[in-house]
Amino acid sequence: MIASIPIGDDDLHAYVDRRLLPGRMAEVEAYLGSHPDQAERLGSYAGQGAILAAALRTKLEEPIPCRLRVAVILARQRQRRAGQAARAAAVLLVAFTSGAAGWLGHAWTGDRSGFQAAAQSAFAAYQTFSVEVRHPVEVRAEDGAHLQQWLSNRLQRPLTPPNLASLGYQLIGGRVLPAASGPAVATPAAQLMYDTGNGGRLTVYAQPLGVDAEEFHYVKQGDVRTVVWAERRMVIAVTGRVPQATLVEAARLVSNGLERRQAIP
Amino acid sequence: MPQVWRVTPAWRRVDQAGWPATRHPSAVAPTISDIAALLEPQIPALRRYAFALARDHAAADDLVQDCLERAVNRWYLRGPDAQLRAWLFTILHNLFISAQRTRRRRALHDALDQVPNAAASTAPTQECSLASRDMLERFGALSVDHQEVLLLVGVEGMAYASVARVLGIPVGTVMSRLSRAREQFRRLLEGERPVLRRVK
Repeated sequence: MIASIPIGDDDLHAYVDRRLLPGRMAEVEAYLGSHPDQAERLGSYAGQGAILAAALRTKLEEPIPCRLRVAVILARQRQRRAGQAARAAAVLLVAFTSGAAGWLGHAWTGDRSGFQAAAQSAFAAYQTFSVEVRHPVEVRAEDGAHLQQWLSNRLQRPLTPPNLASLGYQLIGGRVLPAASGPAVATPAAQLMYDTGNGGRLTVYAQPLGVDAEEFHYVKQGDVRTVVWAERRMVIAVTGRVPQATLVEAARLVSNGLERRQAIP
Repeated sequence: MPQVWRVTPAWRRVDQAGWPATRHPSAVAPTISDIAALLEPQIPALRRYAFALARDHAAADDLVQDCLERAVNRWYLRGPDAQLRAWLFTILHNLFISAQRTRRRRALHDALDQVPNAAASTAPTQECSLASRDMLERFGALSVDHQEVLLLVGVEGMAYASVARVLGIPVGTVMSRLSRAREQFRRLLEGERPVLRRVK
């Protein structure tokens, strides 16, 4: 007689859920025939799903509220994004007209040459990958912890993907890129990609750098704009086919995001 | 030497319409009705799941709405159609867990919503029988881990591998969690059977 594989708790649950192969099913049935106490226990397990489903039946059959219709959700997102763009523009206007020194005060001044290479790499990477529909990133945002750890390890800097959700951009993921030639080329660069859900893409490019120089540099190539600055021993470039106000707001969020990351070790 | 440059590698070939495979217009822009046709059939089950966990009509629909918003934003990340349901439940699970962690976030709901929330969404409660409400309250005494596994396996009829994907845990953990959850729920149901009788 062939020794049979002992019945396990997993077999019993799979029996309840009818997920056993026919052969194993027969073995479990034979076992239950000689163990009425187990059979009774399983009987009550089998009823649990039905009891719960019955208690929730009204919910399942209820007409769905119109705010959950896909068309309504898409329309509301468009509306909200339009509102955000307007608000960002207003904030920018206030910042300019009030003459607030702030973080904008030191923008557009100083030596631009050191940032050209980084801006160019960020632009090239944006042009290359932002058009990708199926493979825009190497590691997806779903693996958030892995993405963060991987990029931080490769760049040898703590790098937390900044949250740009308030601008309507969701993180899709990121990839490692060769660094632009420059004073610090030992470590690669990273590109984080964000998406509006309807094709609008924005990238955050980060490349390790030995020094900090916090001037902001602004580059426009065709209809693609890039803001570059250096912070936390990295050159950061935010690139997108977006209005200047949106780009500046994104740069502010990225900079604040890096700031916060530093506060919580 | 010049001939080498004339060879078109397989990955550069284009389809009949002249588009590289990844840039085909249909891949770039799915229409609203394409998305709705796949997404909307899943909504009743998502609402049921969210309601069983949140046990509040408005909060449950807020969760489902967030879930759907995230889904349409990341539509191109959804994977094969066969896994759509598990993908949606994964998003819903993650949202529920993070909402639990930061409880106050629910208050920040957008004021653009035209649907009057409180009155409209609590109305169906009256149709919910006392026995159902009593059952759900008792179910709520279980830990969230146990609630989720019982709902996904017992109510949604999801395969163990899909449940593992939704909850982000190994299949072995799903099995042991299911075992503990069923036993706990059995005790809860048996321990309070007299109450159930009285309600009926």
